[in-house]
Amino acid sequence: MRSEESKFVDHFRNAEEFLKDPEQARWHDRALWFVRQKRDTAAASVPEWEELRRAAETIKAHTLEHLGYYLERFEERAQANGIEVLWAEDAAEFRRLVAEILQRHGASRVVKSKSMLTEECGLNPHLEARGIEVTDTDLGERIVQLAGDRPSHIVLPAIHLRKEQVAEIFSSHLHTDPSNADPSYLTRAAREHLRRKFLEADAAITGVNFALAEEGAFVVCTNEGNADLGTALPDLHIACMGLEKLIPSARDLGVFTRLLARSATGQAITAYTSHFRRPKPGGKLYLILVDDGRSALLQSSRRELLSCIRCGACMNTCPVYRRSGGHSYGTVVPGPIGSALAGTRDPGRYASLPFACSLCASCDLVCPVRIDLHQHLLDERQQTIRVPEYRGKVRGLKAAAFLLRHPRLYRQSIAALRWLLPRLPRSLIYNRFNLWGREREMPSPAPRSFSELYQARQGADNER
Amino acid sequence: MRPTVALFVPCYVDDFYPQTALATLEILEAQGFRVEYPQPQRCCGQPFINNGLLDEGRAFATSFADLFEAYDYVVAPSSSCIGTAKYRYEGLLEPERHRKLAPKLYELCEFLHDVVGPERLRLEHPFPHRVGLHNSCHALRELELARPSELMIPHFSKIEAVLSRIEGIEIVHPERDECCGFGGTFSVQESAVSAAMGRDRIADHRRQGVEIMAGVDLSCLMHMQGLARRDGTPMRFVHVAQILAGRVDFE
Amino acid sequence: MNAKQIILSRLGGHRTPPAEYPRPAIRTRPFDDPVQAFIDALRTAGGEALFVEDTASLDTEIIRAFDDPANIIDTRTPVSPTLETMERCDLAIVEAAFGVAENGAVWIDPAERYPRALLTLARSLAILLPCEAIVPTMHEAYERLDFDELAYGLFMAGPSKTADIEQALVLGAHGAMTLKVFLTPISGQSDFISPKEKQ
Ligand code: SF4
Repeated sequence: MRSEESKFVDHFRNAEEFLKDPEQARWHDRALWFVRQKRDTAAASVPEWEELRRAAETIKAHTLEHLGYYLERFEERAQANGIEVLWAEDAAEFRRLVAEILQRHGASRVVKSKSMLTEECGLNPHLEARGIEVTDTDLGERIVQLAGDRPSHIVLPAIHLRKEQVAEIFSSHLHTDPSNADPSYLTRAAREHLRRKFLEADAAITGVNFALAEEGAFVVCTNEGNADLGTALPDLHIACMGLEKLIPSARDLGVFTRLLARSATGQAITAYTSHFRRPKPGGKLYLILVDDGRSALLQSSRRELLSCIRCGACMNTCPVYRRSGGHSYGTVVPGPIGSALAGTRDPGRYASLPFACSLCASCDLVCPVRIDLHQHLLDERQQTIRVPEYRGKVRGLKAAAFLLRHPRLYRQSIAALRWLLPRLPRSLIYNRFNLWGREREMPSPAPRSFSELYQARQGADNER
Repeated sequence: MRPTVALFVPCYVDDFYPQTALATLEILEAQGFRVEYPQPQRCCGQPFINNGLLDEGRAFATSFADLFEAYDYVVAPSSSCIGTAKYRYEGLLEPERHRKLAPKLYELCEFLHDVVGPERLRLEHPFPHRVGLHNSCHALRELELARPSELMIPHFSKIEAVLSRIEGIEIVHPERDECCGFGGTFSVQESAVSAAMGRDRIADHRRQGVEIMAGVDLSCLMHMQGLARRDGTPMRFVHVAQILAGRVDFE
Repeated sequence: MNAKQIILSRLGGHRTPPAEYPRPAIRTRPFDDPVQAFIDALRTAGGEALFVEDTASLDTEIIRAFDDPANIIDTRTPVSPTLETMERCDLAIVEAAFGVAENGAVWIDPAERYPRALLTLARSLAILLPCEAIVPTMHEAYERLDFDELAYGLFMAGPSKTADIEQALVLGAHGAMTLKVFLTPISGQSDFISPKEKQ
């Protein structure tokens, strides 16, 4: 697949790099914590919030249990509605299908609304190599596209950029005033620029938030209206979805539309919650169902990860994500869910990601579908600890385990430490291998351990 | 017959924080329990289990069960060690063994709250100070000793219910109930993020005018204490058990 | 085998139809005043709700609310505007089937009456909604929806918006920059009292 496939992603180094700009790091942390707080307020306004989360978990688990059945039912209903349903085994087949459809319809200018799946499958470069212009129309995605950058968050793709950086990017591509970093000004400029792209486009590509098996329809949620405008003008619409986006019926949508935006941004609902059931008059509507590893995930102990509705709440709440930035994960989907998914794809390359987690479990509790994210990360450590990069760590841990298993030996080493520590020069204690001591002072052992104090106490009791 | 409580002292507490262990012992005895300290005690195995080294984890789980399963209650001044034995030994011990062991395990405040009851607590030592309460993740989100801000459920806090029985104490909460960044080996493997998280917690407490931070997990406190000492931040750290037992002695 | 067969075979045992599907039932709590809740939620979403006391004055009130728009497309009777007229459109008047109290969204189904593009190309939207047609939550909303005749329809909550630059909220990303909902009395019901007056 992609060329850097086997290169080890060192989250620790990447995070360290991110934290080298403390002001930017602080801003990133605060901006996302603010989103988390908006989520809290929105969730608190729904008295039955926890009940909704349990319902969402149940519906997703049920659908996954019968995924094959629901997929076939969906296909049948969607075809009856005039939607052409196609299946793609993997990313390569998906890219090929999209390119073929576009070429068959003579489409060379495509507007695309947000779809993590197309990022996952590397669709843009594939189409661009075939002379097809793809314009990402979500503002955040357009910013990173113009900058030649990558999204750092699944809901807020440009959260790693400050407005001054956006002003710079826009001034070189959209000829705006480089000194004007006002978000309204920049958004207006993007609106004008993208409006032209919308009017010129001969095809629209969208993602899918929810597909309805019973109705053969699908739902796309945006705030900007880019999926609606994009699909309203050209005659060709290609919707792309991973197999897991399915739910049984529109009657289950209440649960998800109530949870999604509140979890994502703290809005009660997205500005546009759009339902597509038939192509527009004279138009053509394709829907591509993509597997790309999902069926394997379904059969594994990580099946629950397929319940994710990509709200981004686990990222916003993650204390590590907020302080290391989305790019530190080296994945399309970052944060807790991204780390868990990456481990199922390439445990060697992404071995550091399950460890980029303090196991605080905050993500589990904000997740609208109640995925036990931290448990999955913990379980994945059983595999990822075995990569060559962690050989030293394992050796150290095994030595510690040996020591701790042998009380006499352990006591002796602590006694040695107690004697040694006050005598060693500081530079020797705080050497470069002392990762604890890089940022913190070491605690010092007490003059007498509790075990000794306890023994003395028992002795005194007995004498009395 | 008075029920017997077994005291579990986490490995690093024994050597680095004996006063906390002593305070735990005293506070349990003061409630009228017969307290035993069975030996030899070993690590709960958390560092190994949390790194996916399950063979090592299994060995520690087994010696823990060997040592403690005969008791009515096992109490420790640590939510993370108790959480490990309660939830992470599943799959490491025989299911029946774990099923019997798990309900006997209590973090100290949890025990004082659930078994003794906050109203019946015998606490003799006032603590007339403003105290910032650090709710550790294991206490909050694993043992469910208080409502974490993520969940939309009624507010409660077993730790606060117990601690507020202390005369003169003023309990203060930081703005965020976020992780301090200790996380076991996370603190070294991800030391940069870990330190940033810890410094943010300290600064949050400082903004609330706090100079004494209390918690139920010494590991979190040890991490933040190390940071505060390095930075010269005026913040003192104390385990809740020591406040309860009147055993606070800031060097 | 084609891709479909391969994928379905990979899904193996997960192809059996469910014996039953106990769809989780959510116990929602009714709003004391759903209309007021709708108004508040719409304001939070960046839109505005206005009461129309008398349907006869509706048109003048719409014009007044939008500061004399030059190019208006009124979809109360079927229209087929060209792309150029839609692009120049200052105000589109559309009817909503119902609204949702908890989030200020309205259900809009253009059907064959006007092109889908009008909803995003028009600079401003005036949405007509009968006061009585406000359901409490999305659960009731979906119970009400009939998918059998639907080609495309949407819940719209306030104007188009983005916060992609430093989380600063800007109204009017790609679609309508302003959105106002005109709460109308049910036609033919003369003794209509707005909930505000009731209090
Ligand atoms: S894992 Fe849960 S919280 Fe994270 S993006 Fe998916 S649905 Fe949202």
